[in-house]
Amino acid sequence: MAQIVDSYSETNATDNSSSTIGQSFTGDGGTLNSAKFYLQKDGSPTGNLYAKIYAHSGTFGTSSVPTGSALATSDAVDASTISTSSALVTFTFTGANKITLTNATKYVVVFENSVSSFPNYILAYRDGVSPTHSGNYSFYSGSWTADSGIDLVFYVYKDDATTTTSSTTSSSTSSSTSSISTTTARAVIKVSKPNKDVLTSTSTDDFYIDSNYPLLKVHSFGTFSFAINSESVTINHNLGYRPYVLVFSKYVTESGGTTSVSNELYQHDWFVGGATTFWWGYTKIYTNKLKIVVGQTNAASPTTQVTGFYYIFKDEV
Amino acid sequence: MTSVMKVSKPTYDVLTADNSNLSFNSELATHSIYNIVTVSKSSAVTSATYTHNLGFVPKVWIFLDTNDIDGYFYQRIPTYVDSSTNYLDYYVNSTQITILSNATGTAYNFRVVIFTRSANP
Repeated sequence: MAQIVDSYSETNATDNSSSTIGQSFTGDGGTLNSAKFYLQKDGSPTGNLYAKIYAHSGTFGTSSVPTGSALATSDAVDASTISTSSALVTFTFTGANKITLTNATKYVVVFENSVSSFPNYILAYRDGVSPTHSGNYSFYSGSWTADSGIDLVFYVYKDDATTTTSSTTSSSTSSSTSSISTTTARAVIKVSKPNKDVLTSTSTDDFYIDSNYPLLKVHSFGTFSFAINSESVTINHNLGYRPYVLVFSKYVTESGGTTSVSNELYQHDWFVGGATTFWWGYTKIYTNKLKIVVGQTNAASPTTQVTGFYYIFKDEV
Repeated sequence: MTSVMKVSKPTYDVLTADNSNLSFNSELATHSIYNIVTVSKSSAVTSATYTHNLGFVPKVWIFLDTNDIDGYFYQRIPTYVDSSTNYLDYYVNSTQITILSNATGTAYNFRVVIFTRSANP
């Protein structure tokens, strides 16, 4: 029996569309099994319907759209078999289309509807009143357009995992008798903590490594220095999405009119409340840059330099 | 015998290298991502809660999801929102993540990143 990766229930349905439409969602490390849409037939459409999985582009939940060629295409569903009453319809992925939905990676599931033309339609239901799914809807009309005011009714399912055991070594590691578990659909690598069984432990906290869950990867790092009265420094990353970052800066205080900078580095965000002056250090993460801010409530900011360092990760939040 | 996995930096012997010269050491804390969710707080309340049910207190990073004239951005909490008096903070237990605001009147959206490892070493 397959398990749900992500979904938006048909109980939310308010209206429908006869276009090719999509909804962005988040992968959880599972192997793609199937997708469902809430469909209804008007008239007598003929031809095949498909579900497809695409890579994601844009800001998740706001401007998500599919990009590139389909990563996976379902088996065909005959439009003539769709009921004239709304019902969930399953689209099954088989063979090479049973892709891995990488954990925390954004995707778009698309209902490809090329059979609808007046007066014969396949209608897919959506929520155009109070959408609450974390992703967003998109539709195709020559190109893809996002609409954050709509969510498509959908389900994406993954295979149930089963395990066998094998072992391997690498010339660049000091691994000894590591236990590695593999699924029948794909391979995973796990390293358990001492006294924890790598094959039977169920808590994620029992593992040092579980390849079902991605590690953060460093994109770039560096140092910065700016005068407090300029309040900020901008660091461009141009990743096209908002990544994880770590920022540390010196800590600024003022006493008796004298500004001082700490020897220690403090992780953003930090805040200091004095008798009359507040100080803060924080970082704004945009899709193309970081803005590192150190400032104060006192308009007469000093020219004292504040320094620090940053890490920008490749992974999108 | 405890199994470990290490990968050394170039030119360093993986069997003798100090931790600072390793690219990876399975015995050291790693930031693997368990899940990322969006949590919203309405303007009528001062808190929002997400149930993770992991059975331990996970490490989390929480970002305020908002925008200004430069576009949409994330800002990690705890923080004062745009140097105002609106303060955002959070706490975590073995089942839930609770995000706190010191005042009502403003709705906020948050990106909550939950890691696979406990906040306790």
